[in-house]
Amino acid sequence: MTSTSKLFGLATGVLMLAGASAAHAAGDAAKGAGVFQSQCAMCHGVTVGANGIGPSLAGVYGKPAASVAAGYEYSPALKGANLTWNDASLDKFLAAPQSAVPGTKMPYAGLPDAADRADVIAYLATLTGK
Amino acid sequence: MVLKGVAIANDQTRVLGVRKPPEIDTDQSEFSNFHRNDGYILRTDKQMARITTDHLPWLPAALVITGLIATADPAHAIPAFAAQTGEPCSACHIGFPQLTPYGREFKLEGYVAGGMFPDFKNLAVMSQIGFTHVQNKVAGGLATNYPSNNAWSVQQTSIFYGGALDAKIGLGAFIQATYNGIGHTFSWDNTDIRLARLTTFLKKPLFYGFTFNNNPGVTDLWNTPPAWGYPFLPDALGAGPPTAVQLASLGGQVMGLGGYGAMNITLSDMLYAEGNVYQSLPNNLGHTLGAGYSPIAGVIPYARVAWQHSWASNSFELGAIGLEDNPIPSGISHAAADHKMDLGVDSQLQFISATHALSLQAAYVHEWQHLSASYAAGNSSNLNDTLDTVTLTASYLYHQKYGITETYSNIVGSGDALLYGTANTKPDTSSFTTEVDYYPWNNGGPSFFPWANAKLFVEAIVYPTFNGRSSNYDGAGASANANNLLFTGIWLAF
Repeated sequence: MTSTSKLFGLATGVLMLAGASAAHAAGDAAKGAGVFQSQCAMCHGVTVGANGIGPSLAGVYGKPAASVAAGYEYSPALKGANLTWNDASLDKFLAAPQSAVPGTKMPYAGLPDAADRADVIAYLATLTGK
Repeated sequence: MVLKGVAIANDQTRVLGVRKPPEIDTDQSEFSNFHRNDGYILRTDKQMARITTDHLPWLPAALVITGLIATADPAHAIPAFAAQTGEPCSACHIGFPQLTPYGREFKLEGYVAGGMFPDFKNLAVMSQIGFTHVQNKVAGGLATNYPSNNAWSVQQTSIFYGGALDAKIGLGAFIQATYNGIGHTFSWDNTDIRLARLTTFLKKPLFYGFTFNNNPGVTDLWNTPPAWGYPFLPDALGAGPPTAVQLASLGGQVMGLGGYGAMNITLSDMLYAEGNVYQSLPNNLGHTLGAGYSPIAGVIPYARVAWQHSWASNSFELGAIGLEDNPIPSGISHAAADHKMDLGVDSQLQFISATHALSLQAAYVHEWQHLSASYAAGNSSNLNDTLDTVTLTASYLYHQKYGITETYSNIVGSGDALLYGTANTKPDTSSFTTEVDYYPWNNGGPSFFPWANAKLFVEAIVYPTFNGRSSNYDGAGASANANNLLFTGIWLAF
């Protein structure tokens, strides 16, 4: 993802925060945007079609796993995980991706802090798929 | 790790050594390392076969390659690691073999991401074909049965297994076996089989794992140690430094077990530590694996620590590395051994964006040599010597297709007439290496073979000093620049 698109994605996310429903995750979406930038943005885009090393996460919240990012080749493990991305499943996955879904393509140690995870989940919930 | 375009084996399409030291029978020399620590360079090998322009249909091959490039198709699946993850090679590599942050995480995690169990897609093939020109022709040939200059060669062809063995338990492997097209030998090459797990320690994420491998440093995450560092593109037909530190000399001749841990002390900072122990391959096993027999007294330790700070896709690493070795110069097991100890520091800086990728690497290694066995046998003039190496590398890759790498390498050692046999008794050799690359398929191979990748390269090496001097280094009038080298060709992986 280019720096420009990263900035665009961040700006889009921040703008969305203003109208985001507080009913999603208990975290702070604004803080989550910061954690996302440092931990996730190198691989994941936040606008539709912005696939990088990882899939775009636009509209991922509330959807079945491996179903959102058109054109992205999800791992067989994630396709077969029968997950829906909600607070609980995202929290488990972000804590230890390879433990939650062995065979996932995401080689990431995980976010150990529950508050960080909640913040990121709240931020993801603001990313619409439109 | 997964190459961004290179089919294979991502990591490491480099092969272990090539040239043989004189005290080892040439029949045993399979590894493609260009340098050994014995102070000699061999341009010939008994088993080297003739591969000249008469034997290589390079022109038709070039036309076919050109055609393939023209029909390149945006691709996804690339064999071995790339096929397993479904990612382009550039996800894990800046060119190759240099690793990106994603590549380092993939390796830390045991090569399992995206896979579950072995699959045919975890197999890959790599071949390096090139043309060698040296400034001054070499009497007797660049190698046995090779012309004195201007020779084509298929330098090495490797097969790989790369990827998950059992992802649920974190078991994965990188296994390489190589046919040496110069010496016409087949041997095992870089091998790293690891079991990786994730846990928490002090409330911080901790990857920890265990490894069986055959080369100190092959497990490393950065491209500063010799195993995956300079030279990225060795030419087996060219002359190389007359000696090397032990960290660059043991590939394939040893086998070892160890463990590692990588803890994210903050979201942006990782501490890495690794410790392995090695022993020489038993005689029979060494010959079975094509590595020959280079005995070491006892078990030798290897240690590595590093700190990495990351921001976005950029990273800075600072580390230290150490190896203790007890080589037996006579080649006879249980005979007297020398003692050598390497200690080094290294650093790597990477800036990566979709358009640009820049990496800077620096490594310094000091080696203490206590040559009691060599001295007693009359093979060294001193009981104690030292050897220092400095390597500085800068690489830039544009749009994942056009790359340039510049490397400065300097080796400085004690004067030792018997050990090195040079005119001024020193092994000192410095070089500037410029490598220009084109990766036509980094974002996907031809439509009928989307996992293929290639690197077309031109490499030039200039030697300001060689074997201790810039001129008359052999006492017979030879100049260092006579060894200047031009190497061009293609690195194919599929």
